[in-house]
Amino acid sequence: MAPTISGLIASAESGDPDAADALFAALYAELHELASRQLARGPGATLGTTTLLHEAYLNISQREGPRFPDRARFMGYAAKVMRGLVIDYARRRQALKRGGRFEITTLDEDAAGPAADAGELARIGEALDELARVEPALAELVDLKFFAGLSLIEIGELRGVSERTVQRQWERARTFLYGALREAS
Amino acid sequence: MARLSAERWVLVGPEFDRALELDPDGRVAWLESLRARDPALADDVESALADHRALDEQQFLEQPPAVPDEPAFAGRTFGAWTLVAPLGRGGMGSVWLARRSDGRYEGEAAVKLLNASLVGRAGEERFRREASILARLRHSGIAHLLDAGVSALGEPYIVLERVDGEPIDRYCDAGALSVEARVRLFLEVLDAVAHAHANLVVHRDIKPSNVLVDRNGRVRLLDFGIAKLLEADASSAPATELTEQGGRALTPEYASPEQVTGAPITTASDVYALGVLIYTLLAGVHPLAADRRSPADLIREIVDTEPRRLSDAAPDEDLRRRLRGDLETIVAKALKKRPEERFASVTAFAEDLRRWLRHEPIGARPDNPLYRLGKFVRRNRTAVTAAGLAVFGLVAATVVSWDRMREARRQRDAALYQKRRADGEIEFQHLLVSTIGAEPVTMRQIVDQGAILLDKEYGDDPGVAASIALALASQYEMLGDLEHQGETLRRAETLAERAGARDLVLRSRCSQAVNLRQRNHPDEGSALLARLQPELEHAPPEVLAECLNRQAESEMRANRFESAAALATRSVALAEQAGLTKGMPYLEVLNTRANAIENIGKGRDALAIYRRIDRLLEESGRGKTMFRTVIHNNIGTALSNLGEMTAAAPMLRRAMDEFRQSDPGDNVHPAILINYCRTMMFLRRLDEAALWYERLYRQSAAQNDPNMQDDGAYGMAEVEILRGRLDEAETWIAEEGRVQKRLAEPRVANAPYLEGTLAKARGDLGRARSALRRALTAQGYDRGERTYQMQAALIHAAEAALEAHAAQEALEYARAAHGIAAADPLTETRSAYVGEADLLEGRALLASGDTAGARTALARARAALIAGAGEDHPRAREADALLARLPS
Repeated sequence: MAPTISGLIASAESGDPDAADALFAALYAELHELASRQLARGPGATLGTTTLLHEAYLNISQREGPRFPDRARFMGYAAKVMRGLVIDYARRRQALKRGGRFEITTLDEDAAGPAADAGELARIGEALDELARVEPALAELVDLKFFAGLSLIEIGELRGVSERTVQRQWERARTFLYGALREAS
Repeated sequence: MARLSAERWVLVGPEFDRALELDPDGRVAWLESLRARDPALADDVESALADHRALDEQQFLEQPPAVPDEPAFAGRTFGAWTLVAPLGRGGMGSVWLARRSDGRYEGEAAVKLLNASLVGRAGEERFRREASILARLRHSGIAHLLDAGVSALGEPYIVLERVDGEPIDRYCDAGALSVEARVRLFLEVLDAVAHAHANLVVHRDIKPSNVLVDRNGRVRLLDFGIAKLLEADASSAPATELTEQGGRALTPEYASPEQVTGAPITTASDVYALGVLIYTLLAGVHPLAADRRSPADLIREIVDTEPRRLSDAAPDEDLRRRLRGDLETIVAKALKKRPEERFASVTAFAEDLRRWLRHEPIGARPDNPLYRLGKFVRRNRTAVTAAGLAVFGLVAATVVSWDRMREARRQRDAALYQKRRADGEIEFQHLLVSTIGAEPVTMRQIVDQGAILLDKEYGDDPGVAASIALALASQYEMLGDLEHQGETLRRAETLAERAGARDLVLRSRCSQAVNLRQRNHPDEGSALLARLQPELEHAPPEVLAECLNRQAESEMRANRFESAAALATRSVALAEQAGLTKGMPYLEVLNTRANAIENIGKGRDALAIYRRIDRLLEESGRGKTMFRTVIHNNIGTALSNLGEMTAAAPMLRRAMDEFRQSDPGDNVHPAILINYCRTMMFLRRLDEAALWYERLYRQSAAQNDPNMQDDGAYGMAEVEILRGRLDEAETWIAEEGRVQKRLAEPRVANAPYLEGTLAKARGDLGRARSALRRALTAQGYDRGERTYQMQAALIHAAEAALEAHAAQEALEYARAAHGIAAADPLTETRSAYVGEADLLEGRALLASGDTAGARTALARARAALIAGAGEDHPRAREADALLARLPS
């Protein structure tokens, strides 16, 4: 019988490294499938990442029953998975771009935002891994905010701290990452 | 400098936090003290702070990256379009480059997949309908909506002409455009928005990323009205559109106060956003210095904080000088917190900017009364043209004639004062015309300009100003602009009080009371009126007559016709007694009286009065006035109510065209629209009726007039039922129900009537009959009331009864309808309403076996229907066919 996600979380938290990998894979599959199903089902041709995560949580917790851990913990893991999904997507899109046939014009509404450059995202990911070794909460924060699209307020609620606290942590995390990227580029 | 490792960061982090909390001065001091303790740490903290400054500017990581699974769309088709590659992602969904699958469209387009959930078929219908309105927008400055639809999987999408361009703020900065050049470019934007507004589309999301400048330097606007397309379902409250699905907040930098507080969004909201845009383009910063604010703070400031003066926001002295003066006044007006204080239209906004470019005096008034009269001296005054005076006939007459009457009774001093006032008014006219110049001008522009001049020129003679203000107020009323009317009346009251002119105070208060009632505050209005009563009784006859007249008009709008007729008759009598029968005010009270008696069954008498007024207007040189248009409308309506549809139609059309000519926004007074549409509907010219009903609906929505909006939705529902498009009708019925909730006085009969007619069209007779019965009961049928408004319900009820083989019941309804429609002997043979009722009576008699009776009724029906609606009318043909089938 396939292990439940809650089971995997429990194992991962008690230090089982295989469980951690298995957990990641399971969540990845879950989220990916959810995304595809949503897109095929419609309405709403594209999905916000946050919605995706909320949906995933609802689905999985309903499926696995009352002993499934709370949203806060789930989100932490799922957000990291989200990071993986996003980076993968960026890599695929990059491949398309380099195909050379298509011209990207300024109909891009994210005119002010950073390009979803796969390379940069991957470097952010690496920097986050490094950060996670010493300050896991900060890395998780970046996953939640940047990759999963949660707002600072939501994250505050999730963690039971004030928005101000999260804001400060965010500034710290961002500065670290900026420094990391500056060096790497 | 080498970057910090994560381990190092653990030490630096807390210090960095602390440093960030301090203000710049404190930070320097604190760093110094840290340096004394641990220089290496201080270096690291400083480096981190430098990084932070840089990343803040670049908004590092502020925008989440794109969502997974977009590549899944490549190659999919949406309608006639095939998606080729992603172009970007943003607030409302993802955008894809697309080509037409059949190669019919030469170029490429952008398909936008929308993050919207459409609620069921009603939602889809609404989406399609909205999209088709947007598709009609054709202007060189607007990216054309090529197509829109919902895919088989239920995903809504729109197809836009692809625009290759740069956001306008970047374009201006990249080209280092001068102030004048930026204003000129901005005028192109205003042009495009004005076009959309004229077509009753509000953009709702104007911001630099939606205002592109293409390779030819032409402005192209994107996403017109798209925000509205996304309102998830018709029954939700107007979205503030500040958050997107997924909880990410969009920046509210361009949101107007009403958008932020959830109030209705109108064309004025676009004016606000345009104000923010031009401010940003000229000064380089947001009016509220938004860059450093959190969304929550910014939202509060949008509602509470006045923007900084444009010139004060300029970064250097040179620019400051250029921005000072009229230009900042114009921009400030667009940024007013209250919508009614902004430019009334984008056209007016553009006009002022053009005047600024030409160094002419502008219309917008600075808040600071110091106005540079220097400009006046430079410009040439144009001569008053004869045509100009004619248009003013209305403005002058309303004020002057009462006063001239009074003059004859006053003493010398008073007479002298009156003369000054009269001269003041003539001078006012001259001034008005000269300011406007020789260009063709519309009534709307004149009235607006009049309001402006009033402020400027008559500060020292409040008495004259007050009477002019009253005249202007009634002009606004005739244009259907109740907001400005109310505002002008308040001003008139203040001026009159200052002048100690009691009469004028009374007149303005009385008009305000009526204005309140019309604007959905009936209780306030009635209370005000009650307070005025004692003083009115002792006022001069013309004041009382005018107040009675206003009250009569108000009673009529509340459907209390007997009361209205009594008030109006009294008003006319007073005027005639006092010998005040020359001039506009008398014609106005005559008009009101005719309106009132028309509703108590004296339609033909009313028609005679209207025709008389029409003649008098022509003879007295007031042939081209707004009032005459009103009279034309009234003639047409009277004919329509008398069932003489073919005669009514051209008259109503004429009124409509005259009205449109006089208003640059191409608006039509809602009453005229309704009358026209009802007539068209009866004549079964359904496409025409639908076109204008929909127009009424959109116009009223844009002007925030729920009463008329309800009429529009109601009319559309009826038309769709007649057209057999029952699903669309359902959508409209739902919409009508939604709008009704916003009315102060509900229209209880609407819902059951629509329900009944819809059910009847579907063949659900049981439901139809009970619903129609409920509608009739709501209108007082069971109490014995018989009013015009019941006519339609009775006809439908009769038909439903016939289909259910309840001939007796049908007969009863048909006869009741006949009774209502047969106002006088002439109507028996001329009225299409009577004809319709007789037709149903004939069918009922036929069904109960009375062939002889049926023949008589049907013959009458045929005659009346042909006379009133033409021989091609379906009902006339029906009568014909039935007669032909009878045994001779």
